[in-house]
Amino acid sequence: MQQAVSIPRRITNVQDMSQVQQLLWARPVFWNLFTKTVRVRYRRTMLGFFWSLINPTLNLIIYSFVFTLVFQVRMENYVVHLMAGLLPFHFFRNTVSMAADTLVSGARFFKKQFLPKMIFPIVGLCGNLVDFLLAYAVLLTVGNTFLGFKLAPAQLFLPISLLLIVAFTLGCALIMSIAGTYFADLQHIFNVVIQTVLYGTPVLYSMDMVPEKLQPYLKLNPMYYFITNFTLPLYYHQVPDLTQILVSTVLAVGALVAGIALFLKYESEVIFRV
Amino acid sequence: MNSDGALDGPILEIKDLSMRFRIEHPTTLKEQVMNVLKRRRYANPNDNNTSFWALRDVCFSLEEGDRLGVIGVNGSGKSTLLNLICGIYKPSAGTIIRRGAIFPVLQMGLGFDSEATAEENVYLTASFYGFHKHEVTSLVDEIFEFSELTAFRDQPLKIFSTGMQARLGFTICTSMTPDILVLDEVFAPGDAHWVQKALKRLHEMMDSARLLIMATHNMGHVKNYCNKCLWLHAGQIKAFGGVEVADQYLKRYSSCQKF
Repeated sequence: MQQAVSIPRRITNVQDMSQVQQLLWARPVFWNLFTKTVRVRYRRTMLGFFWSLINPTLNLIIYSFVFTLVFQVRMENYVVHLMAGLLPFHFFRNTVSMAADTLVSGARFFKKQFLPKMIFPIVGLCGNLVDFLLAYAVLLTVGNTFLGFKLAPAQLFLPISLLLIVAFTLGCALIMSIAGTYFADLQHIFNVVIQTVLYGTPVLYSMDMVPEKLQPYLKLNPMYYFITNFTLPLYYHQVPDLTQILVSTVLAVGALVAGIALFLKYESEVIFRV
Repeated sequence: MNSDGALDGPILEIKDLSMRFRIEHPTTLKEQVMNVLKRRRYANPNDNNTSFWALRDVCFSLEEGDRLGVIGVNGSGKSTLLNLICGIYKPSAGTIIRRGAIFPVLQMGLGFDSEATAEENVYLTASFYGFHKHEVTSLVDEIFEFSELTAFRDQPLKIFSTGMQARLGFTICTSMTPDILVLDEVFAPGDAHWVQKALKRLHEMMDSARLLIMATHNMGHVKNYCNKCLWLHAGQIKAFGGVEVADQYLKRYSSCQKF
């Protein structure tokens, strides 16, 4: 009995392709894993995908209530400043922290079939990116309607801010995914350190609340640049100056190059570690 | 690892292939810190106490149409060899030249997601072989018809019995047209009626492959399906030749089977 239909025979061998070709070959796997991570979150919920919009909206309402009515923070539109920086910070923190697990949980796939392992941390990043973008969309619409924040031409810089933080986060996530398979403790260490870094970044406070002699020290923190890339256009209606754009570009490209290089060097060793 | 050889030649060429595994000794945090402080490597790969050779200096090549049965006792390196051929492991030494696309079936139902529906799982498994959804759509009807699961097509996989999942996984794998088919002890499971039709399908798939490599403990399979046989022992080739190697193997171990 001959089968009526069959898949065309593949003659190219993924094992012998270049890295870029391998990633292109893995598009179907990537797409399936990505839709799975998004679907898993709202599995068996009634509101499903809308939770991605409800969560940030509720957060906005709670923060507005707590900080403006209870704490009576004097800074104008404090919640807009807070959320503008907190959302990208959470995107970075969640992606890098979760990256430590991506190769461990992906092992059940790449132990049975050759796969370019880079897709696993990238899938993790994309899942968090969806959440981040939806929350930011809520901030822009709700903030614009109720919180008295204004749209300004400087906000056209935001896509560049996004590009820079995505590149930086991807680089760090690639490093974390490899390092996390060697030292599982690293994820916990990262979570503690990043908590401290949050207080060293102008998210909960604005830069002009910081004593002038302390300000240069805050700028030693890489997150300062990626976060203020968001708060400056959104809250202050200013485009970051050239120095800041340059520093954040160098940091982002540096992290990305280091991440890719480290990942490719240790990629084939990972299977013996998970 | 690279197909840097000439374009024509044996479909699969394996030269001086060796694989060394590290033995991980459980270390405490204190020991790890001390190792770093003493500038000692985590594990010295040249130290025989911390590594062992799962495969050593394996050389052979396979021509168009060859069917190879890989035999040997447990731990002799069969699975390691298959993993190396499939590119899942990177060899410690030696080269593998592949002049065809590897189709590994080391596990039926690769990548199954129990929360997704049966139909979604067909696309999921196919994606791990690099197939896009639109390339597989035409196969889905046939897959469900053959596996007799059409009624459960839109049901989540978690309600499937183990047997039903195995049937679906088997049918998906056997609906592909492989170039170099690599099977690791994979045969049709299930009741008599199913096994009969499944075996027929498996044979059709095996016949369509340009090259077949299977690891098995069943010498009957070697004699029925293969024209070549590789006997591995402690990571080295004990014998390589026709199916008579399977008889040698049986003779060697027949004393163990008599009580």
